[in-house]
Amino acid sequence: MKQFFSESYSKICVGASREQLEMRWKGIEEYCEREEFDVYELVKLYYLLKTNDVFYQEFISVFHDIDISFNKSNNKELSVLAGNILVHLMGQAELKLDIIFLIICLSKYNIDVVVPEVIEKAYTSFGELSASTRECEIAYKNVPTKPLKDYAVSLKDLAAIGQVQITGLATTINDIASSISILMQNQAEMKKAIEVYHEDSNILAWLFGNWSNDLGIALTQKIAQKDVALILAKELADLVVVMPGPYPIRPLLNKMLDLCKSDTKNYSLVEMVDAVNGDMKQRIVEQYNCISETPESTPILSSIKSAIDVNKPEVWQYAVSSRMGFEISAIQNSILDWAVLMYFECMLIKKHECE
Amino acid sequence: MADNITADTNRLPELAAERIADVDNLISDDIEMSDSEDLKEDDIRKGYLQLPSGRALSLQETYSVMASENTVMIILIGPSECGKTTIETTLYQLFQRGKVSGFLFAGSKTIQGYEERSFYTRVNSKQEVATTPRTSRGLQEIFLHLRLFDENKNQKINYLFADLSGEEIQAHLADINSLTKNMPFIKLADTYTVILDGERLANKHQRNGVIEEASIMVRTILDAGLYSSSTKVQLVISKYDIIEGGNDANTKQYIERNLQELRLLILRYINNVSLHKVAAMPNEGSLEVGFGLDSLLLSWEYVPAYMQMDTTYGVNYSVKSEFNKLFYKLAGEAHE
Repeated sequence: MKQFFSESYSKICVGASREQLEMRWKGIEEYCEREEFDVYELVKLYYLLKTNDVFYQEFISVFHDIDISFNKSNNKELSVLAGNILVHLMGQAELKLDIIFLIICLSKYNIDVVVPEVIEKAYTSFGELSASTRECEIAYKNVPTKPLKDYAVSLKDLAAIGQVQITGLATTINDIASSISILMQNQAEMKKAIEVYHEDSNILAWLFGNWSNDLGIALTQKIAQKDVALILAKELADLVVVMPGPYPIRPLLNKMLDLCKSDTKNYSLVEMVDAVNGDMKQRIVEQYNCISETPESTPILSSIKSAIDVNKPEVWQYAVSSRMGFEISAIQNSILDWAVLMYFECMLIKKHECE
Repeated sequence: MADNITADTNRLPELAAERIADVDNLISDDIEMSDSEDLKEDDIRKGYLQLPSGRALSLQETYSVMASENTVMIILIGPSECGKTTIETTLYQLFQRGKVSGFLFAGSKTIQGYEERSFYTRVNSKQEVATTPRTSRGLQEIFLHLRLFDENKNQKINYLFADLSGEEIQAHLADINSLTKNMPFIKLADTYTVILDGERLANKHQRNGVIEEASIMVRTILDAGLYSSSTKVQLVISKYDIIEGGNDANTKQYIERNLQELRLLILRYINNVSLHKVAAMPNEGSLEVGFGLDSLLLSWEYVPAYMQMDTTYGVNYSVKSEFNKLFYKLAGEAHE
């Protein structure tokens, strides 16, 4: 972590003194010791997007209190510090997935962060987490029954219960309690395994079906990839039961898109959202309603929502661009990239709703 | 911050020179400006603010540029008097005439540094032989700064120029650790601009040494791994007007052939290598002042970090789950 910090900080301060490095590191440590984190705002700060004023002032004050010469207008430095905090927080189980999803959701908007390694770490962590779900052996534990049987035999010919038997009874009840606990753990493991198998079979059936569940149509070469990409991504997210979802997301979506008419052009978010028909937009938003406080974290869902309100791209794109702080029509990605981003946005909302 | 300071102290801090009432100290040309690294927290609390000197930036002073805006760090490498400083200063002077390659001048923190270096090489000077005073300094104040506005991309970019002489590289040739320790910025260079002295290249007795020298310097840096996938190298023939004026086809052929060989050598390490012919302050022939600097400036293009980002997420072990194997199978890839 310290190594990552010193390497990333050198990108904005080549000749940092030991004192300066120590002060910034202390700031990062102090920030990470907080009990609550607004990871949505932290990710926005990392991506140089406009953040909530209260959050921003609190963030600045942590570093300013340590070093009075800390310059709050050094945007690149703020991004590096926020990135380091995010890397640190990715190590905390309860925040890890939120951070990964949030970082990935904003990863393809050509935002010029100083330390793109933070984004690479988010992708790598997602790969490791998602693959591990299906790589682990089910950890069943044996429930020992011999002591219980022995105790039952010892009680069989007993005329009266004495102190020794009472002690034995207490021990046996403890054994029973721990056996139940083990059974519950086994049950939880089994439930998770069943959920994974359930998810696998549903996704494979979806893949084999060559069919769009939401549109209710077969995917053929007559259908433009652009028209269905976001919907297929949402359908894949629908099928996820176990977080963080399947490992081969990109190949799965690619396979489904390959059934449609090939299109290698890049498109803007405006074009992608405009290609989704009105009913489908409504359905997507009903199911994955972007969190109203931080719509900037989910640009695609936020755009779909704006497009429902005003069904004219030339109008809603300005509202979304202004909210995001960059021109959304200027950023172009492949259809598959947009589909993958849409999937992650849906997963972020799904994760948020599960809590 | 300044408001807080005056509120806390209720008066402006006394300068050292004021305390000793020595006016000469205030107006002396020899006044020593301390580096910003000396600006300690205590000084700020006392209300003492270091004003920028306008001279070349020290390594520590580059922080204010790099921490706030997009920056390209360019390291000019070449033997003494090969024309590194002339290239830097002429480029600065060209902006006094207007746009260069679609870039507009948007400021500089080292105006004084440029002016000091430009004094002898004014674009409109009538000297017969253009001269730039030989750079004499340690590694304290080595960065010249230009802030340009790119009209095409509608963005401001900062350029930090450090010029390293052959001697400075040579001094660390045997010990890479000493090179990175004494010049930590070198590993963060976005681009290495290797200057080959055109005047010496035009001289039959000296040309072999020029190519050899450049080759050794570049290999020293590249062998030390001081580059990334996005690092660029420009091989620049300076004082090209002398070669052009000589009008010797053999010389041109020799240079062309040897530079291509050097380029191929560098391509083993780095993908982006370009060749440039420059006459920053031509004395002979018909070349314009700043000849070739426009294309050199374009080759220093700012490359955003996201362009080199890797967003693939394959795990580095062999997966056992058939479902996970779809990651590779659906993509038509083998996976061991």
